[in-house]
Amino acid sequence: MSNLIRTVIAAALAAGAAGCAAFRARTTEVNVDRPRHQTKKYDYTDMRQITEGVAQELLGSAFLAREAEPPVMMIAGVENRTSQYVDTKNLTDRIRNLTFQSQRVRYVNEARREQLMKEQGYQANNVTPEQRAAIGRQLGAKYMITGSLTEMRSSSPREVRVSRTKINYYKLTIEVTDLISGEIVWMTEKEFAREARLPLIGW
Amino acid sequence: MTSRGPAARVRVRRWACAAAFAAAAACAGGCSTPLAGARAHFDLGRLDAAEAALQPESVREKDRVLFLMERGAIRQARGDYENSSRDFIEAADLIERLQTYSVSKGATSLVVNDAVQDFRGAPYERTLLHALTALNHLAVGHWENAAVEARRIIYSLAPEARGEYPDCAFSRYVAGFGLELIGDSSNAALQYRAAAALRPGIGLDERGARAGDPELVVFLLLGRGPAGDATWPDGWLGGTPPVVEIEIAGRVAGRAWPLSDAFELAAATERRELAVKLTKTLSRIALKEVIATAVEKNTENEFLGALTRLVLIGLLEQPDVRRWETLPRWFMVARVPSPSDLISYRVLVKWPGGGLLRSAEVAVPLTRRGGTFVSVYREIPPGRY
Repeated sequence: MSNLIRTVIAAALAAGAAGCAAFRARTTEVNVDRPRHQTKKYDYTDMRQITEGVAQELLGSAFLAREAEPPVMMIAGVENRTSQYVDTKNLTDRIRNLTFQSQRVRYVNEARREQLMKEQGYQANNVTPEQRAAIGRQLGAKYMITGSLTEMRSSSPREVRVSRTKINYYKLTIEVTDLISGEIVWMTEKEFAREARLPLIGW
Repeated sequence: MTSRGPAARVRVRRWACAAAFAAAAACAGGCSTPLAGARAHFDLGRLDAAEAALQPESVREKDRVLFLMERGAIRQARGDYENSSRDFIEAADLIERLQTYSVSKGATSLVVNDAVQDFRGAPYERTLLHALTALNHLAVGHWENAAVEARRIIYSLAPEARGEYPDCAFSRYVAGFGLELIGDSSNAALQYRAAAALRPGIGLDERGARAGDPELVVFLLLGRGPAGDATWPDGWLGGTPPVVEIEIAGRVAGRAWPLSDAFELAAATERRELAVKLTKTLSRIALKEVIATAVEKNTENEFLGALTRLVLIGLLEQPDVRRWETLPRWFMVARVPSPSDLISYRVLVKWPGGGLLRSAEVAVPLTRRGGTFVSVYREIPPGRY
């Protein structure tokens, strides 16, 4: 009997030492540079990778090399054509940031135009003439950046099995359009697919 | 069979008594639920009270999806579209996570009943979950999010996901409309055609938007879907929907297409699952009888055997009647010509024979995308019809 008690106590101690951490609330820093996918769905790692790829290609593009001065651009947005709620502003903000840092392109703040106008209106009425922002002097964009994020999904057919395999394919297309001519002067695609196997039976 | 010693018999007795106590407690606890209270308020049109009755902490984890479906529907009826979407989206995420079959809960359901398993909703409920989420997005003008739900509807109705369960014309139409609004007219047309094929003879216009002409598209949600314990007689062919007309500036602009009936969808689902449910129930009763007989033999006590039988079969053998009950019964769409400065319209609900049943002036929600006005009308009737 005493052996049984000793065994039980030893097992409890071992389980406690090994498993207690699993029952504690814990918060840790995550290195966002390290690729990390928890599901087959589009995630922050994908967002970072594809935006870096697009920004590098854009900065190395022939149309940009032909520009004597950094051209002024505006981002009209990326269409979400997936079955996920994707905040595509993340995509465009990062592309803008990465290219902006290079100082090879300039941007107008199209998303804040309304506030800009409001502030200018305020200044026109309330600010001294020397410090007042002049009206009608905004830069006009030469190029417009647009794009779309699309998705295709497939899964293993219905059959007797213990897991289901699902594949999600995503493609980001980014295009730059000349606002005067309407011509698409540059475009690129970034694609990736991820397969996930989900158990159909679990505890 | 070798007879057990007195200690073993005492252990068996203790287990049997504990099981009886647990079953009685479970039964007592399950008799009145916050869901039932919320539905009662909803039936009477007391939407604030219905929402207040649904407190998340009072809902069991296994019923979390149902709770979110019900609360989302109540919030949608109140016009709280943003929060309704949050509930529906969370429910859809949970359903996806519950795709893995739980062996422990499955095994428990074999000796208790099916209600111990996590509620995932019937396939038609899961599809309508996306359709109603899309309507929430349309009501607040979030076109791209409506298209996200349109794609989810299409995935949920794909043959490999739906299997032999019924298709849903209304969800198809919502999917088509969501895609049409973001300019994906070819895929929209596919969905409209699928909806028309499911509802032949109602004059459904598959073409989508008429170029240049302003129009009003109203998604009408009428009545109450079936209760959890609803049954359908053999050969039941469905009910007759009310006639709904849209009146703009005093003139009838057009009539709504009745696309889906929650009773029909539920009945078709029940027919599909009948054999499986029956087999499982019979197997479970047989297993319970084996357990009760074993208790009786091991304890040499007929009373304990009878008590075990009473608990396992008499008290715990309950059908799983969980269903999304705040769903509307009738799902309709009206697509009518509209003035370009539309600010309100009137819904006329008539008996199939033509007599006016109800009417309502609707000014919100009324969103606009180009020349298309979009609205959602949810009617809470004084009873099921």
